[in-house]
Amino acid sequence: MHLSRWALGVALAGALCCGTLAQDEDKEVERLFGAAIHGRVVIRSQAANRLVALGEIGEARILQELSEEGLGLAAMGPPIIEAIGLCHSAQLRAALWPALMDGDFPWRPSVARALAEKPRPSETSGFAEHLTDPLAEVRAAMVKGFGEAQGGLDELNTMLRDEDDRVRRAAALALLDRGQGRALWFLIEELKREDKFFERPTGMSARIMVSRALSKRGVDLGAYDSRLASTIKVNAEALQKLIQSQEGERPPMESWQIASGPVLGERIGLELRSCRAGEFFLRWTDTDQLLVGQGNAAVVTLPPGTTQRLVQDLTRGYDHLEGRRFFGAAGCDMEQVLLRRSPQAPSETLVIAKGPAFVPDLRPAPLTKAYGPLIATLPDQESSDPRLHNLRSRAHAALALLGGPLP
Amino acid sequence: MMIRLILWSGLALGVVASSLGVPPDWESSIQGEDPIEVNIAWLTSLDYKPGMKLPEEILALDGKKIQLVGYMAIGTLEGSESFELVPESCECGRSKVQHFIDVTMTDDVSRFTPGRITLVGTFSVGEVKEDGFVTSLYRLEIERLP
Repeated sequence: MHLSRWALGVALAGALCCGTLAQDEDKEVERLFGAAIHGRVVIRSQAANRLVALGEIGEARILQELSEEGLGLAAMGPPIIEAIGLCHSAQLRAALWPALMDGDFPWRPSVARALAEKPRPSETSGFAEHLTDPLAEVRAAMVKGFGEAQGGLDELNTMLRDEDDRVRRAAALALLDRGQGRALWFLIEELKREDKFFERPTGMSARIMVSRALSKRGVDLGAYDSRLASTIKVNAEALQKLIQSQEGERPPMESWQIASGPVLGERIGLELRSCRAGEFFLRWTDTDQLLVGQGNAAVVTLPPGTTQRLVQDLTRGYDHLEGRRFFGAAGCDMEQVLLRRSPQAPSETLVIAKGPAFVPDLRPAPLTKAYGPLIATLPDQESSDPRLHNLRSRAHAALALLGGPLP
Repeated sequence: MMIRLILWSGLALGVVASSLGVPPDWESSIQGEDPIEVNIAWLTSLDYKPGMKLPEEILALDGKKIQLVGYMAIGTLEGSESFELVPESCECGRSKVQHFIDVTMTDDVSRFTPGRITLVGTFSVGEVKEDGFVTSLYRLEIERLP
């Protein structure tokens, strides 16, 4: 009798304890889920990662929001979307592919990164399908996923010719990870970059990223320091050693795969970043050249006097804005304009930004007016150079999705 | 003996300067208490996970007067005593704690400036936590905006 009472007591205490534990766990799930969506931006990805690290209970909480009554994938936002890439749930993963295929889904780069986090060999065709995606961030993630899922080496080699340096780097690293030492030649070019986009040291950023990625893979870079110019003695020697360690000849490369230095005489810069239409990096120089892309940019020669006229138009546009240099609100869609009023002047930056939703009349009229002659200088023919192919039409489409259509 | 000590000090400073990847004239700038130039892209591209030990090169900058060049994060509130400094004006997909420098001003408030800015101040490094989450890794205290 005593024994059964004791057993009953233990069972009750156990049940209460389990109930309390379950309640605590539920509370923690809700806390993390809420923080991942509504918390300070800086904690969202930490909260999302901790939520999925709880295992089934955390994954189930996300899955609940994918039902008809739930928030849906887009509303949960990038931190949760990227954390899904760490999940075991096949149902959660299955929700990512349709989002990637939907050109209007607002967080496609996050979806792509999630899919590439733990790629499955059965998904190589899915990754391959998006190797030509309009968004470079998506292509870079797809290359990583495709490589890790043991996709074909030929396709990866093709991606070494991509117009975007992030995609080329992803392809070279994927090939290196698959034992293709020849890919190192393309990364050596990245380690030699000295280019800038106006004052922004784009070449140095590339050097830093590549040297970190190679060091992580155990490639001996000797005393190479990515923060210092690639031409200084210590870096030049380290690069020379790396080149000597390579077997065979340096493969032939397209101009945009080869390192370059800074450009002189940049007067106008237009950087367009659309989460739907991709990115454009355009510059107009004192010597009437249009430069397209970052790094070793494509060069289009313009009629004499073009840049001077464009600078005058844009200066008038700036002056009509009464000193305002920011329009819109924080978001991933962005137009950034850089203007040097005189050859020696520092650039004056103007930014128009927004989230994924269309905002009518976002770009101020004086600026839209100044854009017209700028965009008219872009070539619009078919081209074997991916940066120049139908450039004007593509830039027009991106502008329409960003600050609004041009007349 | 004194000469030897000075030589060794100079050599030691040179080694530190080299390890931080700062310009070669840093040794002379130290004597004038000029700031150490630190590359923001290098700081913020760290492969970081909460709780991990940071590289010595970064820890060595704690408490030092440094100079950073970057962009005010888009979305910076007007009139705030702090803002985030980031390596590029577009920081989409880079919202983690290692991706920015938490800048506080002792004698100014923020007004959003879209171009590149150069800041000089006292750097501090290490995890600051709120409710169990790391809310800042790198901090810079400056007097005012340039």
